[in-house]
Amino acid sequence: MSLRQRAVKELEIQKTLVALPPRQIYPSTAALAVATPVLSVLVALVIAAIILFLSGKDAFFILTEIVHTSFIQNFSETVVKAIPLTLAALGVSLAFRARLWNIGAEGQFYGGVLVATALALGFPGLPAPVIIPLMVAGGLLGGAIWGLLPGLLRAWLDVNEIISSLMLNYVALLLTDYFIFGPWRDPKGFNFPVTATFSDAARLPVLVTNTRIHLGLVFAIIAAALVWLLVSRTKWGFELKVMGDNLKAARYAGINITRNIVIAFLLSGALAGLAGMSEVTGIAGRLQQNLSPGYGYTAIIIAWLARLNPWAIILVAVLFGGLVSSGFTMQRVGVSSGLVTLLQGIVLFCVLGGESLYRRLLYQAALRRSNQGSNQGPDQLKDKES
Amino acid sequence: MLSKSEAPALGTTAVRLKNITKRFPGIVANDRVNFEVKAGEIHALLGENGAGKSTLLNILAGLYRPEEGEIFLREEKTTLRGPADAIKKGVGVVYQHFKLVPNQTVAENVALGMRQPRFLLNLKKIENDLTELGQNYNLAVRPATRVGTLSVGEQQRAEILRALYLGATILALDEPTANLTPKETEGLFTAIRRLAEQGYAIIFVSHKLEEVVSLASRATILRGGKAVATLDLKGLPGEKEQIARLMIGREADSQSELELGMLDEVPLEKKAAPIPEVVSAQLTLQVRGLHVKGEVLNSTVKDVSFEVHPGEMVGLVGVAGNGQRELAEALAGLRRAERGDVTLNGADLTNRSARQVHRAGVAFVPEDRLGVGSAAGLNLEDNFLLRDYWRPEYSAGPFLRRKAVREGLGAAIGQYSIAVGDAYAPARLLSGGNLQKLLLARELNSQPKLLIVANPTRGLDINASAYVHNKLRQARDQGAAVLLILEDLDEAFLLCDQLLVMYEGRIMGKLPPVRSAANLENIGLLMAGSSLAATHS
Repeated sequence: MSLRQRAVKELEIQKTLVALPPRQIYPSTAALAVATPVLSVLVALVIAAIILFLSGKDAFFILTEIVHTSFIQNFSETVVKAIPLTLAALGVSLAFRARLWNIGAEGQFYGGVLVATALALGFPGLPAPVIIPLMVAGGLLGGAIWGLLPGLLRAWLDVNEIISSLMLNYVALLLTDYFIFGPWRDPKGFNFPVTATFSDAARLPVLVTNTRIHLGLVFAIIAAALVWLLVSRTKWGFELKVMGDNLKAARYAGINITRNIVIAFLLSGALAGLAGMSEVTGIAGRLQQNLSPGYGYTAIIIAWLARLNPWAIILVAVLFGGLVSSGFTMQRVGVSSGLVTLLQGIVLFCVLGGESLYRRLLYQAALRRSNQGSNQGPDQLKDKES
Repeated sequence: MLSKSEAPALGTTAVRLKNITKRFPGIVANDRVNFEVKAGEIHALLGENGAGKSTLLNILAGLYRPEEGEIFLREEKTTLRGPADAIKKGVGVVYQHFKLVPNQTVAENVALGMRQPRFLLNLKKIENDLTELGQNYNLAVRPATRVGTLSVGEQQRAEILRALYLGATILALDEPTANLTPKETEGLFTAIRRLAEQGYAIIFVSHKLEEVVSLASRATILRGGKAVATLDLKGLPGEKEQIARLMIGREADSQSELELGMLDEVPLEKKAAPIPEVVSAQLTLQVRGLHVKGEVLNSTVKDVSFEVHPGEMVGLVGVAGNGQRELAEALAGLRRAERGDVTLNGADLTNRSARQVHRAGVAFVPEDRLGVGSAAGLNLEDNFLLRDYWRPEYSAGPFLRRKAVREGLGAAIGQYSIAVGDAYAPARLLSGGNLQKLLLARELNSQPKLLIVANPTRGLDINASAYVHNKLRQARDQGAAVLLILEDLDEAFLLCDQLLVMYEGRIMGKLPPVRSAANLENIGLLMAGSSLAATHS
């Protein structure tokens, strides 16, 4: 057969192609995706209840009290906590997507805090429309710089990013202490380790009156939309996904891995930095110690529980926001607020356990389907050549 | 104490598996399999990929427990509780991928498997015993040498000796000749025959019919998890064809039979490919003086030069680990060349990035299809997109055009008859054949000038192999230069227009794919590192 004839035949074959069926969503699979995290959290609550019961408390009362105050009575405070949690979780989710273990959201949070504070203290006279965008940029930049360090170390020298990003958290925390105990200490602050209060222009405006919900909520929602667009619609998001599955395949695909590691850490850190900036300018209004009750660490749990899905991150962040804000409730009913940390830990364990179970179930379901498929499929698609 | 338990008398039944059934999610890997091996017998276990051979071996090795059925060892009903238990009961399995600890010596590896004595270690004695045992059975090893520095053949001998020393009287060998030179294969066969004479029961798993009929006295054929037949092999004509038919289960189209050399008379004039002369005048790939650092001792590519023309299929043959993979990866932009240069149609491609090389028209299907050639956790669509997502065809600015990708994938699935249960399930769920088809579809989609494929049909069954062969020929006939890395000589003879033999990182010679005894011998010699007799033209 001549080349030309072959080419013509090829074209004919192409015309008779089977259209790919639309993406099927299997009801059982979809239900599983929702049921697993919900069940994980429920199991965690049961374990927490048992612990409370064993320590002689009225577990049912305490848990209902938490739910009542955090999600009904005082929901606005829950939203307030959910803002930095969402931003930081979006940040780590970007890195996690490429299987880069950025544990440094806490430090990157403080990176954003420090730059935003420097701007607020340095330019007290600027009007809000100038200083706020400036601080947003500063927050992003501060977090990005803090994320850049472990990113570069990993990309160039193959330094384990878990260790470096985690260690940099302590560096950031101590650096913050240095500033509030040293150069930035408020001279009129009775020697307390706090900076001066920011000017009103340098405070994020409150969105809902009589609450502390601030402009950061808008940042969080915009960030979620952008992250969603990035990971699901762009070439770069695809590259991250491939890197997360198989680095060798990523190299084979011609992906610039070194560059992408650096960019992923930059963006990851920038979002955590934005969280820090919005917290210090929207809530505290000045830099003080313990600005973050571990937002950066909680963000890791949130990102996993939401299975790195940006929209789910918002939901899970609200759930955890409730948990964080329940510390006060706990003390009111006579339980140490440390229980909140304990509960978070239990949730993380249950989520990780549930996740591996989920993966196994999903794999088995897919295996069953593909077996059924290949039993029916192949012979109908008989090759037309040969 | 050379071999701890004495081999049973010739002719008694050493192993009997009765109605063995083993299921995995979605498949019955072994379906009421009956299988019997006598002491002193070499019994071949045959079947296409996925027929259930490995599962049966793993059951014998104690790795899997059957859901149903009974195992009899030396006429005694038994259960194998684990690998250690199987070894204790005299079953030794030597896998295709060896399980020795590379940075320990042969003797130390043997000592690892010993249960007695518990605390004292007399390595010297083990070393002496191994040497003696090796001499008895034509299995020479250097017992005090670290396993990692041994050749493949020697490692295999060490594995067999280890099994014997630990008391195996039933020895199962999984594709033992897959990575051996013809000479090493011969040595192994001598050893196997000698062991059988001594009353050992040998289970020989292979897909090389030639070897099976020359070595084994009986053969059991598995198909789709069932044992379809056990034949006495008497060296009669037509036996090979009979086995082949039983393995495939239907009259394979004559094409596939030809493919695997199952019919002896392969017409030599098969490759009268009409190469357009205008095209063939120019070079496609030109490699000059290439040096590439290797993964292992002998795989450093040294001063390699060759050419591949458009419309030509060149096979790089040799025993695995002699630099073929390093060479292919260097050509595909995945490994740095230390010296030398690579040009494609005159354009310099030396040490360009994988993307640049791909853009210049080099397609590459790596040997490790799951580990390198695909992101196996991602779905078919993503894997189809893997190498081409940056092309304008599938992207607009920073965004992907998912609709175009789906159309492309739909076309590929239809055109390459890829059997998919669910296009959105992870690619690792595809069978080997379908995954290879997907990779070929993807690589050929960009109309490459040069196509490099490493072991194109490894792990594929006969029909899928035939399909892949056709696609490769088609790519060549359409004017692509094709470079194949091949370990299977039959396949090389069948497909290629030229053969390059590689040994220890050098190209030893360039030979035509003529299936004459002299040519075969020459290739065997080159693969084993000797140079040709002076008479070779």
